[in-house]
Amino acid sequence: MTDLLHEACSRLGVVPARALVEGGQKQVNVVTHPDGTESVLKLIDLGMATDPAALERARREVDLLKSIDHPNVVAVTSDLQLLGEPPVAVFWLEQLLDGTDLRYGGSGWPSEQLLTLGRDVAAGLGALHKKKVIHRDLSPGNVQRLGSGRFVVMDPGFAKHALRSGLTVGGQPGTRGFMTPEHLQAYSGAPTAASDVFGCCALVYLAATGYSPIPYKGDDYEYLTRLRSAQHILLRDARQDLPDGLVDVVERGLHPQPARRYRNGDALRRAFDEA
Amino acid sequence: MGVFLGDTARNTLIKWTTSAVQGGYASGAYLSPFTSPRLANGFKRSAHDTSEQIRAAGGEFWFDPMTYALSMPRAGDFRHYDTWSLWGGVRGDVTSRTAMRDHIERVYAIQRELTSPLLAPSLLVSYPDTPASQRALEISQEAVDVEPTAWLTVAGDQQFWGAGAELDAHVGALDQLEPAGWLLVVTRSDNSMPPGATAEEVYGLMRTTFAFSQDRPVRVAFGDVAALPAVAAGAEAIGTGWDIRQRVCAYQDFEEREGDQSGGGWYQRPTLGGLMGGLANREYSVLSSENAALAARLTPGTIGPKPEQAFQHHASILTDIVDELNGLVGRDRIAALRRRYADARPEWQEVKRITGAPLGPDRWIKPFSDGMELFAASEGWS
Repeated sequence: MTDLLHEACSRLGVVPARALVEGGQKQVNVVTHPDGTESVLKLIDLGMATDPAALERARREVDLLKSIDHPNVVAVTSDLQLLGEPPVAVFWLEQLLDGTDLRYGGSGWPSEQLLTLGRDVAAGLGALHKKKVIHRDLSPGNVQRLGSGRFVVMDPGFAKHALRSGLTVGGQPGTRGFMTPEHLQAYSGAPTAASDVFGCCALVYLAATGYSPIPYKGDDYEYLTRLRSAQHILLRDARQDLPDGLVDVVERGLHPQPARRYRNGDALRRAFDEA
Repeated sequence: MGVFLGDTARNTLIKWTTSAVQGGYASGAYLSPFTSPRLANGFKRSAHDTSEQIRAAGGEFWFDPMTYALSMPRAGDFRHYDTWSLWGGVRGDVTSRTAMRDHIERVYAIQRELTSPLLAPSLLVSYPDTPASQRALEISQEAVDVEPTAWLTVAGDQQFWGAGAELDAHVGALDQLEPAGWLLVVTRSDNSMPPGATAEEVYGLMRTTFAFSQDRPVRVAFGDVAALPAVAAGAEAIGTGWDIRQRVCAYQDFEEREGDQSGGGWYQRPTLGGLMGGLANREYSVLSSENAALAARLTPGTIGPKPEQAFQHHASILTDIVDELNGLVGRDRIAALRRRYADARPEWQEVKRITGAPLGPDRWIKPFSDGMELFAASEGWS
């Protein structure tokens, strides 16, 4: 991967500054431009079996993301580029964000902060959904809380197209503990915008309680069995101090049937606005 | 809205639909290319005339392409179908987006010509997480891309509707398409009446109906008494008719056959509102002669001796129930149908004793009531 990183930096005319995520299939580095500004370089090792059609979809999706200018979506600032022939890796540049992601956000948040989290993430998702981009892998590591208090959605859409099956325990790639029932489907029932709605509400639930609505307990089969029905401890039982409006929005977003949730990010944001 | 009529092999669609619309026991009719020719053929009027006359009577006229029937096992009755020019290439070929789009545009063109609301073609699905279900999703996507104001059909067999989480995920993907409305169909491997429904299938149909009907109208084609739980879950209307082919969507009715069947006596079997089910003519005669008061209470209303009168009574019974449910919301709809089932169930004991009817509440009520209770429990409405 180190050689790949240096080749990618060379192609972009940037210099590696420091690593944010090392090892494994995905490498995330802060890089410095000649003018001294910094960006994030994301590099994904494709392994031996690269599906050309999947690569083409990934390239189209990066093109779409480049066209999204929204305060709650990380900015993609370069085209998706390939390394090797046949390709062995892909890379692209994103804006560097301050703050920390939700893995370090703690729990027991007050309702005002939960509403801000829900509104911001839903608004970011809404911008993606308008472009027909589904995030598919909303997890605590993919939402950043900036120093200003604003929340930004990261890594939209890439998992399905670029990553190998390392994160896959059902029919679709995703992060254990933050998948949706649709992640178990391989064909027509695969994740949609309503799945991202579930993911957003799962993050609000996590921030409220300290655990995801359908937590992963170390056993894939046991997890998938619970995921299939999406049964969980109701938020009103886990946090009795929260206002009904907020609880109702989160519970609707976590409904096992995707057609019973808010249809997309914009609809969810409006619901949080009114909660 | 309440009851609409499916197409019939007989030549009575215009006259009986017109009477039903004017009599308030149906809202209109759906014409099928499997059942009626595009142009007049000496036995049936043209589709254009059918549309004009039903609409002139104040009824709705729909052209239902029923593309899903092409994938039924042994589908082979194309005598009328091939007069409609619904395919530019091989009949039923949806292997490419181009072929899908060509078929969709041909269907829409006919619907516009016949002043029918747009109802997109759809494919039959047997299990909702397969390449076939993916293809069904794609043709629906293509159909709303061509015309966002179209209605979409969801057609599946009993396994499809009973598939649980897989069904819900497939329905969730369809829901993203936001059509003008939904037409749901349960296809069956036989045309027995009452249909051999399962509680899981009824539950799946209800979950889907309830989800879709939150912001879109939902109707159940064919359906008849088996679709009443779907009405309790939010459907606005169900399909019926005077032939078994209008009440059950069964594979055998799309098989190759010799000539149109103009006869058949089933359509005169009375449907008794007080039983939430029906009797054979002989059984009803015995009941009426042995205990006229009970027959009158359970019927209720008058069942005339002619086929159209028998149909009128049947459609009126359905309309009364659907209208009652449509006047309620949420759990009250479920409670109202639950009461009807609960009231009807004990009546069967005496009716079976008098008539010797082989069918009873186990077939007419239990699977539908059980499916409804699964749904009620899932909503916390038990």
